[in-house]
Amino acid sequence: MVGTFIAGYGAEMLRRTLQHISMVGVALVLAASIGVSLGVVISGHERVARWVIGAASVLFTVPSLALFALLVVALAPIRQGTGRVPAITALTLYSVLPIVRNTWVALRQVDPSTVQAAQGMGMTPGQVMLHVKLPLALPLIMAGIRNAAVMGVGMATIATLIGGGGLGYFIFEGIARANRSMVIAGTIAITLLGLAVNGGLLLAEEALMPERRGRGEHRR
Amino acid sequence: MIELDAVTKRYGDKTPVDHLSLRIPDNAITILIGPSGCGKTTTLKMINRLIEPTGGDIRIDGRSVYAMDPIELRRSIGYVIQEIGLFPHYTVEGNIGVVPGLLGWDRTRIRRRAEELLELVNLDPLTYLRRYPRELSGGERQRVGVARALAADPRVLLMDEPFGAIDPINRRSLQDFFLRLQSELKRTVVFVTHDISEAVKLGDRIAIMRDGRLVQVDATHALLEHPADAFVEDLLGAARSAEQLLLYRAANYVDTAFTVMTTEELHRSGVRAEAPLIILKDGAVVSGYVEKGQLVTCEDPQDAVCRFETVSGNATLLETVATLLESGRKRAVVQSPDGTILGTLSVPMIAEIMAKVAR
Repeated sequence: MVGTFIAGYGAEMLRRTLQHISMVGVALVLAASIGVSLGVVISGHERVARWVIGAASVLFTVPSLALFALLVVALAPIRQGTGRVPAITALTLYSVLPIVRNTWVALRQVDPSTVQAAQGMGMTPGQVMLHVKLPLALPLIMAGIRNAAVMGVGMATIATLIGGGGLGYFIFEGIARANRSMVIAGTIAITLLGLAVNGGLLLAEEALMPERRGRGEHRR
Repeated sequence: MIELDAVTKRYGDKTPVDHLSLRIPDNAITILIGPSGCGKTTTLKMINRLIEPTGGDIRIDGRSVYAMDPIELRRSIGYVIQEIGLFPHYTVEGNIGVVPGLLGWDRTRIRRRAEELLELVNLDPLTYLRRYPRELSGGERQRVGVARALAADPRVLLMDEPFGAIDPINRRSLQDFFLRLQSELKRTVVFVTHDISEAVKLGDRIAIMRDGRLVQVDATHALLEHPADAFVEDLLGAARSAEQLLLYRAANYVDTAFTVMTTEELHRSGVRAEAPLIILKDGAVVSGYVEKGQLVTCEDPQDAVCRFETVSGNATLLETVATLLESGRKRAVVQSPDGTILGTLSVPMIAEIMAKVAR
């Protein structure tokens, strides 16, 4: 059964996997840029921060299917109502919350004595952010990004309903045609992709943080 | 010289520092001490403008710090704080290189400076340059913290309870280390502490603060001899005699009746009963001492040689007593940071000193 499925749908599967990845990838890059910058900007302003996080949380509670539908309506006047644009927009909007929230929390958790040492040695506020706060906040920020990425892989499944393509096609087509192996194949592919994305980002994280590499190597 | 001129800091209706005027001389350690909330840390942070005052002026070598760019000012002053504040994501080399990096030094110069400083603070550069702070012990971190503060060769060092979080034994050795370093480098140090024994041990001058005001400032020994009021007396713990041991430096009370000779000289000489205490020093190594009269009963002069403990001249009498009691030895040889023998101390001698002071 697996053999016949791959023979029949192998090329289609590959094409749609790449579509899925590029959709989630573009949305993630956008969401990370927006989320981290927003987190940095609001980190010094408690009240603004609560508003921004609140607004993002409200957005997060909108059901994903509804958000996709809303964007179809909203983007229709600029002739982008269907296809990749509304799909990527929806994914980006959803992914911003975990990233901005983690960035904000992470920056607040940086040891104040480290920050004070940095200021006391004559770092400008920008240098303190770039060389001290952000690197130390990185593990939590990366956790937020991973969170958003895995969530995005799952959510991008419904993009196919608005013509965005991706692996969701197999699931919805499978349901329509009552083809069980199509549904199962689509589900497995999406799950594996989610795991792969999580693993890949973990590796990237380690490469970004040399001080966490080779734990115990120099210990006596 | 650092001059604080009627410096005041107000937050709402609180005044943590109130018209504080203080002169901090060059090349010496000045201690700011007082109960918590007395404004000592606030005062320190106003010197490098981490806190801006509400009024008054601070001048370094006649130049007002408020006429300088705060970023440049901070880069020109060494800063060490209690939790050290080493950057956990930087290696030891990276940490030491922070200020030189900000000043635009090139990599090789930073590397050379880091090696030089690690040697200065007695850490082997080969072993430590590439380590991360989490791979260091508390004492090692503190040494790196001091090295980092010295990186760009600042004339002024601000230290905010730098040894406060260290256990007592390591604190003692860090204090000794810092005194040796200072006897070599002669920086202008402003040192905040709440530990009176640390103040007495390290301070050339002590400034006592209370409620944002200066209560008394004087050279350490003068302050001990003439406390201005009951508050100072209380802070110095003069009321309780055991605490006095914390306030007196070994160097000022040593028995100076001794002669120094090498082991070879001892064997050759015919010193006998009348000789005062003999300290054996072969080259730089102080190897033992011979009590007065001991040689009389011995066939071989070597049999009369006793082992001893070495104590820094800056150590307090309490440290000296503790060292002697821990080791079970009778005498401590007191040496200045540069190795000069100042004299010896024993527990009975210290008891006698205390009896005299109590009167």
